Order: sequence, then structure tokens, then C-alpha cells
Amino acid sequence: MSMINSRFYRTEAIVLKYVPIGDADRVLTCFTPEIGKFQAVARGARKTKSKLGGHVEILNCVRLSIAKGKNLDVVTQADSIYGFRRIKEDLSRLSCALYMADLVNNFSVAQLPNVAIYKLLRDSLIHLNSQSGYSLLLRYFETKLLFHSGSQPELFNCINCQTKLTPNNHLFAVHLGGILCPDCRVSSSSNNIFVSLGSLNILRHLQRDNYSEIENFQVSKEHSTETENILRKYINYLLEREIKSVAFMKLVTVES
Amino acid sequence: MDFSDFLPADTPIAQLIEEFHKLPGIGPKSAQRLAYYLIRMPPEDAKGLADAIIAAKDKIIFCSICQNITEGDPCSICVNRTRDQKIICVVEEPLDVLAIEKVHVFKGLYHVLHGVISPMNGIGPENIKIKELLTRLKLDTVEEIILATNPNLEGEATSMYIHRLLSNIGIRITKLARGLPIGSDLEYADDMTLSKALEGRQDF
Repeated sequence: MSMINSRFYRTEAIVLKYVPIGDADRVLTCFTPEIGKFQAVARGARKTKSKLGGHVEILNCVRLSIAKGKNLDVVTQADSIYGFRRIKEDLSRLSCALYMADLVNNFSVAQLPNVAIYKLLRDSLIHLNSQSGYSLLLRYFETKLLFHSGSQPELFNCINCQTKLTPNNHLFAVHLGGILCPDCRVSSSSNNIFVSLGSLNILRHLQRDNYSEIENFQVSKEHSTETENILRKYINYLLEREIKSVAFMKLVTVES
Repeated sequence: MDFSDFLPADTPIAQLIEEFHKLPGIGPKSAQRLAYYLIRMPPEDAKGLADAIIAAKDKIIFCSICQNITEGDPCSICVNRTRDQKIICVVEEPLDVLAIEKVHVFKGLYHVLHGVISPMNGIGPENIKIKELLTRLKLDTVEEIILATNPNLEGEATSMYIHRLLSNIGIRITKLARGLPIGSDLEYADDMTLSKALEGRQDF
């Protein structure tokens, strides 16, 4: 963030969402590397001749000039860096991108910077914009988001007794945030989800590796569904609610 | 300081403030200002406002064909046989119908969705009038659907979803042109608008 003077500042941002306000304005919820999640008004953004409108669209990565306001800050200039055109022209990809933005919105706290999450979101959108498959990317995004938010699940040692896990099928304890070894299992708990060795290995790779190392992985449908299910349940447990955009994503995603 | 510290919630003025506060774009301060303005209004003016609200709520219904707001069902546009019954323009809100009608160029019929798909706000296709559009297409002979949702992300998502649903039924599906608004400056246009404007260029 560069300060021009105390009343103005510039920052890069990704627009997570907006709500209409007044006759032609929008209140943007942006995610930035330096200030984290914050809200700002884009005046006149809904007018056809607005110089801001097209730039401050949801999911756009933009360079913003902002004036500090009494209540909300005001966007004075906006210039898009990435428009993610391919995402916006494909309903399946778009629903995935909105899910990512929704997750960041839910996991982030206002005015709390997290550069790693910003980079993760930006880079994931760039990947989503340029490649064809997306389920592994979504799982990677979820895993890294959990890591950068301080809620990374324990996948290598038993979450209860800390002993190293044997290569086997296991149970993932959603309420504890990790795998339970056979000795620590409490049967019939609704918080435990079965995790096969194959899925566990995928989850471990997602946690340890960079995206370039795993992007060519061939994951079976079965493992893909299993890892999705585990991560979704864990995320829902952490947030204490369901992510709203999941329903639409499930409705429209048809993996090519 | 909270206003309710001084005013018990069951007094008429507190109730009035509370009701105003429910309206979109009205914060607590505006609600108080409006409520106190109403109290100082001549009684006949205040009654006129109350009557107008009740009349609007009682008389205005949704057209069973196009879902636009109307006083009679079907609405005046749907019963007008001089309009082209084979083209349906799909819009987000009743105000969009007014905007298009003002231009006097479109002579077909409308379908009002009453919202857009907004996944992050939990608004899915089942929450807007897409089902009614599908039912309508089964009953009527329609040759063209114009998708005229707003050219923003949620509007485009809604259009793409409807397009996906209708792509197999053999109706021509079009959407409004994207590009530069008249009277604007090229230098302020965003990448998406400019590239769409270039793609959609026409012979002079």
C-alpha cells in the first residue's frame, strides 16, 4: 500500500463482492494484501458511463486509489490488472471462482492483513482462468487457505496421542481437526469421517506441495469425492455454517 | 447512543422508526428523520401516503405470464396483440421493463426474473422466476429469447445459466450487445468492455 498523503492511499485488491447502495453506488468488499478485507464505496459504479463500474467487478484484480472517508473509504480510481475473462465466460469456472471468493470472505477478518491468502486467491484465479480442470485446484485452495488461516488439519500423526500414523485407512475427526489412530478412535461419533489411504495421501500432498508439483495428478472420482467431502465438512465445522455458494457450484459444475 | 434508551419500543413513534429502518438504504438516523417529518406533516398528507402504500400492496399483483407487476392479470403488455408474441426479452427487474419500453424500439414481450442468481448471497436459480419462463416456453410458440440481464457478473451468470437450460430446445437465444456507452471516453473503459466492443464491431 502506498500512501500519497494521509487522506489518500493506493492498493491492489480483489473484489470479493458488492452490494448496491443509494441510487447508483456500490459498497465493495475487497481483499488486499496490505489491509486484508475492507469495504469501500464506488460512487456511481452502476451508471453505464461510470469509469469505475467495469473495473470494480466481482473477482477482478484491480489497482485502487482510495480516499479515506468519514464512515467508509471512497474509491477514486480503479484500473483492472486481471479481468479473468475465461472464468467469467464459463459458468462452471465462474461458480468455482465465486466459491473461492466466498471462502476468503468467510475466513478473513476485516482489516487483518494476510498476504499469503491474497496471493493464494490471486494465483488460484489465474490458474482457474487458464486451465481446464478445477476440482484439484479447489482442494488445493481449500487446504492452503486452512493452512494460512491457522486451521491446518493434522494428517501425519494421530491428533489425540501424536503417534505417527501407519499407512492404512483412517478416520478424520472433524471436531478435533485431524486423523485419529486406531487406538484413539471413539466409534459411532458423527464427527468422524472415513478416509481411505489414497485420499489421505492426496490430502498430504495438497498440504505439503506447491501447486506446480501436483497440478498433473490423476485423481480417481472416488478419491476426489472423498477429499472434497472431508474438506467441506471440516470447513463447515470451523465456520459453523455452510458456505452459501456451494449449492450453485454443485448445480453447474460439470468437469470436462 | 441508542435511540431506544429514551423511547420504549412499543410507542407509535418507535414503531414507525422501526418500520422505516426496514426499508433498503434507510439507516437508523434516516429512519428517525423520516418518522419525525411524518409527524409534522398535515394529517391529510400522512393519510395520503398511508393510503397509497395500502393501495399499492392491495392492487398490484404479478402478471401470471410475464411476472411483471401489474394491476390486472395478464398485464397490458401481454394482452397487447399488436406486439410480437414470438420474442421474449428476459430482464431482472420490473424497472428494466420501463427502461426498455422508454426507448420504443422493442416490440416483443417480456419476462421478469425478479432478481439474479447470486451464489454468495445464497440466491440460486430456484429463488428467481426461471421456472415460470420454462413453463411459458412450453405453452407458447417463441422464436427468440433476448437475455437482457445487467452486464455485471451476477447478471451474466444468470444469463449463462438460462442459456444452458434452453440451449437444447431449438429457440434462438440472443443477448444485448456489450460495448462502449455513448458519450463515454475510451481511456476509461475496462479490458472486458473494450475487448467486447472490438469483437462486436460493425461495418460502417
